[in-house]
Amino acid sequence: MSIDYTIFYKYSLDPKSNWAETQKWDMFISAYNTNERVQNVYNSVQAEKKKWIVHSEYEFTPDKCPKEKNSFLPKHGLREDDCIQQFLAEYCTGIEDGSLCIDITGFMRPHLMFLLRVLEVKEIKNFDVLYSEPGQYLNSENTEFAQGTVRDVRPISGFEGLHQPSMGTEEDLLIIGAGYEHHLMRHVANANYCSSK
Amino acid sequence: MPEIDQPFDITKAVDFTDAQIASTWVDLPSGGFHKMVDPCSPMPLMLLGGKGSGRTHLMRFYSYSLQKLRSAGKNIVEYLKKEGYVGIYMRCEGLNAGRFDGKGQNSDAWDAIFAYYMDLWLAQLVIQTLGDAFQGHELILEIEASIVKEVSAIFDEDIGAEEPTLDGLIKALTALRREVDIAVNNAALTRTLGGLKIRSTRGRLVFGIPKIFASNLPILENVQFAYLIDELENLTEAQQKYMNTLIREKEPPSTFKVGSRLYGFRTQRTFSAGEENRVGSEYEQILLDSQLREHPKYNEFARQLVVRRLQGAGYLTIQSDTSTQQQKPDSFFETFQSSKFEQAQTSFINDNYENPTSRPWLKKLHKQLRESIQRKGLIGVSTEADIDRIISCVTCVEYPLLEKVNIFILYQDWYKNKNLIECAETIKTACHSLQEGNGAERHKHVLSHFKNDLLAQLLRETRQKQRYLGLQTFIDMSSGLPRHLLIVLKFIHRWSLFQGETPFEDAPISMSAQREGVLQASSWFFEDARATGGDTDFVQGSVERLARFFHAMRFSDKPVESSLTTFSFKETAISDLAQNTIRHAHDTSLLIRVITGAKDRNDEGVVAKYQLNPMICPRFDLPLSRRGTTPLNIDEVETIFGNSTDDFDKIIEERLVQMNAPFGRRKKRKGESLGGGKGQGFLPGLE
Repeated sequence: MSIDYTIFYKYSLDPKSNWAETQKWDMFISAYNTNERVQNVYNSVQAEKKKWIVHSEYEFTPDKCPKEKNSFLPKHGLREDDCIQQFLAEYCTGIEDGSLCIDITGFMRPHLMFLLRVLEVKEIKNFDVLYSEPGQYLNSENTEFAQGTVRDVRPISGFEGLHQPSMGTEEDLLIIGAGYEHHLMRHVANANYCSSK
Repeated sequence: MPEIDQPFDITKAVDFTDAQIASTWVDLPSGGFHKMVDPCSPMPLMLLGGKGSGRTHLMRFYSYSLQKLRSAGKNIVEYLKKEGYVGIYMRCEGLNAGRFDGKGQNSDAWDAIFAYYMDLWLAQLVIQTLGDAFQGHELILEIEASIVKEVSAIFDEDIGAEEPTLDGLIKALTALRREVDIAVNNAALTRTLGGLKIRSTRGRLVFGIPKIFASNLPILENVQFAYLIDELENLTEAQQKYMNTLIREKEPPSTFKVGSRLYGFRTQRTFSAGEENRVGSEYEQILLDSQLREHPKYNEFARQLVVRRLQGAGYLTIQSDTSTQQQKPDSFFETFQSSKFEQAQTSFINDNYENPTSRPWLKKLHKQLRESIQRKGLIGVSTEADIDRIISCVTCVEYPLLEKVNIFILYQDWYKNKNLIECAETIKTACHSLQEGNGAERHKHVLSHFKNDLLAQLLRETRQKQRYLGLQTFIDMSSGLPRHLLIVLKFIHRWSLFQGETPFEDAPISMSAQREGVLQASSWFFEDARATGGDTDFVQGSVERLARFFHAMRFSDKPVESSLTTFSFKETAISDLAQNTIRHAHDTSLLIRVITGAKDRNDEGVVAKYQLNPMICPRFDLPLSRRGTTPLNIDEVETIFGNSTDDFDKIIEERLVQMNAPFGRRKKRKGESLGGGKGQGFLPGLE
């Protein structure tokens, strides 16, 4: 079997260059954030339609929310699948018909994963993804991307897999992709406490 | 080869193999756990307990896998008959119950699908369990096909079991569950359930399959099918409603023993015409950690637990049983020998302070007296010579603890505006009498109530770390939660190894390793509570304020209560926020509710009473034992647990005015009486 190494082809864009003038999409989706890394990209990108998704988990007050009418402000506490499905149904009609670009910089991870899963189901297999990387994180390896209280540890919607009853508790295996935010990994490890790690 | 590698490294039952569950098992003396759970009883049981109460260990011990181990390779069917039950163990976490929600479906649809899925899950567990027990057994050979036929018949439509065997039945059930898994997972993507069919009536599999086995296999007559459902807290309220319905509608030979965290049992409602289950009627309830805490033999149980772990790791021989070795572990920890007026553990003071007058408490008293003379605020004391005379009277070089007792009594007299010269002379005489074994009732009273607090003050004022030493101290810290005892010992063991010692072998574990281990365990417990949802930061901040409040009082000149870690308050008078904070702190075991609520003297209303979990106490230099209780007024409760937290320092300051020389008087606050009337209906320090 041959592998198409261009599937995940990626290259860097210099934010000081005129990168935005060289490309244009039919639809552009970004997760709202007041950070300039997100705002600059949103403002610069050329697209017929630009959509903000405003994660309720970020708890923006109304005066901080985007004023654009194409901004989706989901109800608080909506799970990622319900949130993304509502967003696609109400704000992204015709997404299958044109070119698509997604800025993933401000996305919450479960929402992003579910979005990709649902695009796959809709057979949208070609689209561009932007990510703005900071020059350096202020706190290096101690950077906290997720702040606040962890209320729940659970599989991401659409990725739950199949379940098997067992008389014992020794058959599961949890593989931890170690990286930043060790405290979140601790929560996962504790929540899947039946597993070998 | 040892059964376990390190004696205390594993502190969660889910991390143990079945064999380790069996080998580390310790029963409450006189078969207490069996009486508590009673798996043979048809009465359902809710087993509620905080994290680390041993609930999962207990439930797994009664599971079929452990029954099989206990049968030691003999005829398991006969063994089940002998024990009178078969334990069908299930962890709700495995259901991943959160996915039965949303996805464009209404709640009625999810209720039905979840019930169906859980029925399939339990049905498969029963068949797997019985299939394992009867594997190759002559009794099943002739009737296996008949059982499969009968089980297939209780479904509403053909389930397509291809082979007339129990394995074939399991395959068919697996296929049905996969069908649900796929439909539920895809609903997130497609917003439909894709025509998913529910093929059995709610509850029919759960009760029907045990009946079929029992009626076809006479050897199972009088054998209870005990569904051991663990981790109920992982189910939503609607899903728990289904569990409650099964309990309410249970049919013999099935019963339920359900385990949950304290806060995880969210509803008693059922689908049975909206009826609610009642304790004592539909089910019995056990609050595991409070039962263990109050159990007269918890101490004995905890020691046996330690012995069993040490035996498992090869540190103690297994030849003799755990009960005969339960005093042995005390010798593994370095402690102070008992001595007259705790001279042994205070000897460092004489070593460190050659000149007795340079001892911090005497210097402080001297300063306080001098400042009060300048304000002309003392009766009978007006000159430097008077001060010297007082200092001389309360000094007791040989026994620093008695010196602290003398000063404590002097402070009490100062508070009452007595002539301090006369009081000091009386104290001196009584102190001498006490050393000679005569009289000195007031000294004896103070020693019996405040000795630990005064020793703690001695340590703090001489910049020593507080001492939490010896196995009994660690058992006290665990406060009915066996895991806490194991965690304390785990950290102590690690510190001991880190310090180059050989723990549990030749020399006892050093005081330093014990101190560090206890502190680490205390911090771990405090931080671990953060992992449990809700507004944990605020709750932890509140508990920390409470601990600082107790700390300030313990290290005041004249603590009013001894060993203070308990408070009471009028529950109906405080805000919702404060009530919720206290409830959350209780749910996460940061606070322990003291069952014997004190009566309010005036209106006979019951006041709530809570104790700071002893696991937290070392972090704040607080005592582990509970004696005194301080009543908190409404302002204090709101400042600690409610929305008036900015006033916290002021609240402490007001309290301390009457506890530190020169002893002012506190202003009366809302909901409080400072002398008689409303408030606590018992004498301070004498509870």
